[in-house]
Amino acid sequence: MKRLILATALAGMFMTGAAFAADSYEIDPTHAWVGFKTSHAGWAKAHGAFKAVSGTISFDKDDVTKSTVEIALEAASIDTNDEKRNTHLKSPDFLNAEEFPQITFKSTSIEKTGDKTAKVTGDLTLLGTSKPVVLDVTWNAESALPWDANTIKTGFSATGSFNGVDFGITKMTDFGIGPEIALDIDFEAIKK
Amino acid sequence: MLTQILLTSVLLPLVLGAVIALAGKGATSRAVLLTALLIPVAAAIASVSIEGLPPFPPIAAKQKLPLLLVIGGVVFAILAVLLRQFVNRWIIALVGVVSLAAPAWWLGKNVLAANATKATTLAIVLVIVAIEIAAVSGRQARKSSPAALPAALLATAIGSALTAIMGGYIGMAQMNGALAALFGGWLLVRYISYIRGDDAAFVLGDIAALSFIWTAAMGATMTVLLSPSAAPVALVLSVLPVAIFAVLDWQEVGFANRARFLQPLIIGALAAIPAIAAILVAVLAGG
Repeated sequence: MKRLILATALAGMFMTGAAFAADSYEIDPTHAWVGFKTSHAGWAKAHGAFKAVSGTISFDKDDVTKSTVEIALEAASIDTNDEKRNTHLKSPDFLNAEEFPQITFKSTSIEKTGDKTAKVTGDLTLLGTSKPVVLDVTWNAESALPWDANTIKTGFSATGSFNGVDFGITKMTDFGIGPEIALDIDFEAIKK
Repeated sequence: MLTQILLTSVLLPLVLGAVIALAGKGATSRAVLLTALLIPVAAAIASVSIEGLPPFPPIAAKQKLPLLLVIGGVVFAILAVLLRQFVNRWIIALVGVVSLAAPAWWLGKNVLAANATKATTLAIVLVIVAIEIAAVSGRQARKSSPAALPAALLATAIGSALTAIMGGYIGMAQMNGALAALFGGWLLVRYISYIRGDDAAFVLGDIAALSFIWTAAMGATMTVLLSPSAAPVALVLSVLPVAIFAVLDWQEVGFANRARFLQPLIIGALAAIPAIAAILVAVLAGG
């Protein structure tokens, strides 16, 4: 009986240890850039970015497939370097920011592709519609802040793409935009 | 792109409005039923042609709009049958209030809960429309100037369209433009009938009039709820043309001393004054 209790306690310790192997991070909103590019009637690629980004990461460095990431963008924070275009992009013709204030990405599976790279598959929720999107992610570095050894910061870069019409932005084709939207993401996160 | 916009936002609704004017000719109960049913349904067809077929169940308000318009058409058609024998202006007004408040809540409860300015603006707009419905309802109304009501709604749709454009919502500008074309097509056919001697060419039955006003009000409601930066004053002004109609009707103004062909045009121009003011305010606010 004592052996059983000991074995159970040891198993519990190992399981707890495994759970602690993943570190929790919070995205630093002042060092997060979610940019996008999409065709503008074939003339050029229109660039834009979201100014308000937040999210959390559970990062398991021993087994990256057990990591998770959740990112939220404020739709109304879109910026394309023209105020009138920003206003139109916030309307129901595009992001419908009043009805659907947040755009979210929640990982569902992670496949390791290299020492510091992975394919992160997740549900992108835009305009109330969720569809899977794959991001190619690179873990860049992790270190303490030079002026604060107790604060650990990590950083990632990611790229991916999705079709805007698939999420209900049907007006994209009417206005000669896209429909493919390329994402270019960089963010830093603070270890909690 | 321009051809597509002209086709969906102007030509199709214009033709539909003309067809409804021909199908619903006269003040018979059949004509009232047809007009009450078909005006919102034609608006739904215009919405689908502009925005595409919505998913079912609809997710966003703009996807709910065509379904709402079809439901509205069916409800008004049923009311046209049920209220054929007895039409009390307060019953019409009550139907009007419910038919405005319930869709506004369904379309925009999240927006209304989060945005006090839009909630206040929409409340003012819908109260004005409800008062207008009460003012134009009942057998005592429309002693004169019957052209003013559809002309006022044409002006409301144009005012809402320009306010939507300046407020950054081009899709709703297209939809309000389509409503203007729908009402314009109806008015064009009826104006020709009027010129040819039909004094009752512009007369609408109570439920048909309610259906017209409600359809225009749904366009205004969507504009208030979802235009990112539409000027609230412009939105309120854009629904005031029907109030001009109510005043003209109350005062029994018909411009009978003017040439026959000019009378509806003068009335239309008067009804359009608040809409013109709405456009000016929207343009100034849009900078």
